[in-house]
Amino acid sequence: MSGPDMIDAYLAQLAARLPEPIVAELADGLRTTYEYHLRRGLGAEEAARASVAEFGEPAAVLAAFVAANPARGTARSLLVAGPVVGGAWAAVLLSRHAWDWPVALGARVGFGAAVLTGVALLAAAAFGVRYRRAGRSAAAACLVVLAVDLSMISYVTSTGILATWPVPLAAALSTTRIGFALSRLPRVLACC
Amino acid sequence: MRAESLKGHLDGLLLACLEDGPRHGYAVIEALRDATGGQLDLPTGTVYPALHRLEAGGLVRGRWSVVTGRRRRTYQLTAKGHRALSGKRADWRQFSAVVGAALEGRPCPDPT
Repeated sequence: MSGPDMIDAYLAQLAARLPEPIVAELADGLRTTYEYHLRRGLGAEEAARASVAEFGEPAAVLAAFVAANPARGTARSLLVAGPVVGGAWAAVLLSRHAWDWPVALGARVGFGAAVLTGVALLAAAAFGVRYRRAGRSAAAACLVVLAVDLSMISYVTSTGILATWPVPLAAALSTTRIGFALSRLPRVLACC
Repeated sequence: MRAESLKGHLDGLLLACLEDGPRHGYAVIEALRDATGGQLDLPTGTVYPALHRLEAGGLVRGRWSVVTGRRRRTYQLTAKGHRALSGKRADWRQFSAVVGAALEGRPCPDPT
């Protein structure tokens, strides 16, 4: 395999698992290392071999990127916040007798399914070992979290119980979570 | 010196490499190599995710440019990064003084 081919093969392994901008950055670094070794007087094949060896095993580079994945961090933060926000809304549902609310069974089931889907997506993003898949899961989870929080806030606002304790607390927590999810969404989308 | 020995200190070293001005990934690696006399056995590919982690934490800011037809990402310390570097230096001085005292049987320096 020629020197440039060796570099391309190395980058192809990373390109299969990482977003394009990251691969472009790594490609610049690897090719700069290769050029440095050529200037030192190594042959093309030797220079490529030295560059790839310096960069490290692709699996180690991938693992380091997975550990630093902002989508993972976002998912973990939302997973930690989930029981707090969910607990506040559970208190609302219990204290305001949610079983008497005029909400269709289909809507109730759909809401429950959305919550469970959101948790599953967050868990997949928080503990997954594939960079882009974690990004996609976290992005979808952010959207589900936004939908769940907005639907709860819309409901309590439309029914006039927004000012009744503990609704303001739950609504404030949801609003904070909406802000957090929106602020993190662009960075999470960049991981896809 | 192996990469594991760096655990917990890599972020500070990278911030220090960026203290004099913006650098792209390879230049950061070169600066790190020069500053340590080439004694760090660190897979250079793992420096990039560390830079991304610092960027996500708001300690550095990355910018794209095109140099000789290649896209290149350059990093620069933010104000938060400068403060973090000062904090890491102070922590390191205290850590090395205390551990050095314990290892060499010297009196431990006054924490104040």
